[in-house]
Amino acid sequence: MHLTDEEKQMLEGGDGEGVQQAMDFLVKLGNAFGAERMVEIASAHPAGCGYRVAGEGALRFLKWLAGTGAKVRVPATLDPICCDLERNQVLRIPDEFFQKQSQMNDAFRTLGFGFTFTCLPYWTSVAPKFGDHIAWGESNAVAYANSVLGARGNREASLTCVLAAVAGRVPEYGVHLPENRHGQILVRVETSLEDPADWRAMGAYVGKHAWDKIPVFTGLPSRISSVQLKDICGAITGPWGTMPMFHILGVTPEASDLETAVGGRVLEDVETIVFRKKEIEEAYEMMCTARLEHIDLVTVGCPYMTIEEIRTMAEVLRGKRVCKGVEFWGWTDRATRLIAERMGLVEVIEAAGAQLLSDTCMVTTPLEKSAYKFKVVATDSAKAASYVPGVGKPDVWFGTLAQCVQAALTGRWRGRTSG
Amino acid sequence: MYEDHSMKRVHILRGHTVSPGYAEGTALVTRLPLSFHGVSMERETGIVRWKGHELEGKSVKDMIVVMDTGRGSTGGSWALYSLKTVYGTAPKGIVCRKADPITTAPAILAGIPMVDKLDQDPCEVIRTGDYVKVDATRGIVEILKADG
Repeated sequence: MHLTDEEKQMLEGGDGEGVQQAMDFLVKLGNAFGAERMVEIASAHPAGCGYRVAGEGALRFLKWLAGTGAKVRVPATLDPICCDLERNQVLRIPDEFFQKQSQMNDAFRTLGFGFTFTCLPYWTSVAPKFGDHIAWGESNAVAYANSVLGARGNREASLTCVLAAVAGRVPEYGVHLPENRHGQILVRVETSLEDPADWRAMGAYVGKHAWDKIPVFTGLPSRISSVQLKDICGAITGPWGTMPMFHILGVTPEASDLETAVGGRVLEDVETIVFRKKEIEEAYEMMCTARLEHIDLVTVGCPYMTIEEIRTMAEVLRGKRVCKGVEFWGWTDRATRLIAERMGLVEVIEAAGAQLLSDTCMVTTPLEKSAYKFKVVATDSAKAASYVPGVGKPDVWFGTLAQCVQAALTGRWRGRTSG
Repeated sequence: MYEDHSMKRVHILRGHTVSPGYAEGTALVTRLPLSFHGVSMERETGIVRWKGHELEGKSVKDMIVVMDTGRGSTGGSWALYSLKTVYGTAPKGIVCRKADPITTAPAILAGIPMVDKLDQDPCEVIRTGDYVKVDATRGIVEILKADG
């Protein structure tokens, strides 16, 4: 692997032990995946910033790294952590997690990370531009940065993102290389998508079936909103698929036409997924693990809600009252919550008996250690629908926001009604 | 290539360094992808808890894990590092058909030797219980067949 003089100096320890360790790691990672050189990154954003997901090994390593005097060399932001720092009266997470998280945060602060605690860094913190190399771990953000913004980054392990931040570089492999960014499977959309949940269902379905292949969507309307793109990103990779990006013909910047999107390959060689009304139904069913009508939690906002989505949540809850014995939680980053507060939306949400929570989320908070014993959870998020259920964990209903609100008001999930 | 070695059949596979280092131990083989993270593996014991996985109930601790590839979330990627550095329940080495970045990263940081892209399918050649020497730095895997 070719290294610049500056990189050789890092590797030889000229910039301190932490940077040396980071460069040693990145060179080995590059060798493992055939990289010929390092590329300088515009930003870093690890996932797994919470103690529950990252664990004790991460905490010890971060403490060590911070102790070496190493600092981030690029704008570096953080994914949600394991607790809401201001509203634990709602989640009731044990103190131990606060103490451990506080130690992790101290290390992140010393290293120079920004305390964004968001899974939407592209929305509220650092948006990379076309062609920028990045070291990001949060899957929905990697998908958005590559697909929509045209930045270049793999779905990197969280520790890779941390060490890349300290070295300011990542090895050039995977979708850092233009030839690896071409579409490998076609998705012909032959139905209209009405509700935001339909967009997420499509993302989940295509993620599951395309798996690690980069899909090219055709047949979607050219006037797609940023939120609809975010809806696809939050479902297609991470929980349901593993590809770092997708193309939408005529919409995303590397898919001006089909030939460009697939890199000039012969079309007969490209597999096709057809997505019709039947596949929407199949995707909804695939995400529902629950059988019991009775629900005890509604969770929305995974990935986090934008301010416009919070406005919608507040409007559907205005003047209503969540049923006794049911919790209704929405999730967003701290800054967006403050905006919602100033707009009077938090007041409306809380008056309905629902909560708007921050810093953490349904996936990163140790709910299994809280006082709640949820059995059935309703959500309009394809990502939560994948991560929430499991052995000894709650079952899930996936549906529209309207269905989720209906369930919250009555305590019962009603089947998907058409129209 | 077969050689006589202490009355055992020895089989040599050549491949590619993913995480350098040397380890030897007893093989635990799966043709499926494996995840070393949270819900899929109990960190205190290294026991696979992936429901329905062919290794469910077996521990990776001190084994040479032979698998298809790694699986799991970017956020959960610290888990393998914790198995090694906190709980002492990590595998001694990993042999896989194709390495994935999310397993490779913690293997490198924790110093767990790992190889991939071998000249024969390791999931077919190696059987659970075989004794395996992984020279990951040189990309060489030596197998002493248990039934040899």
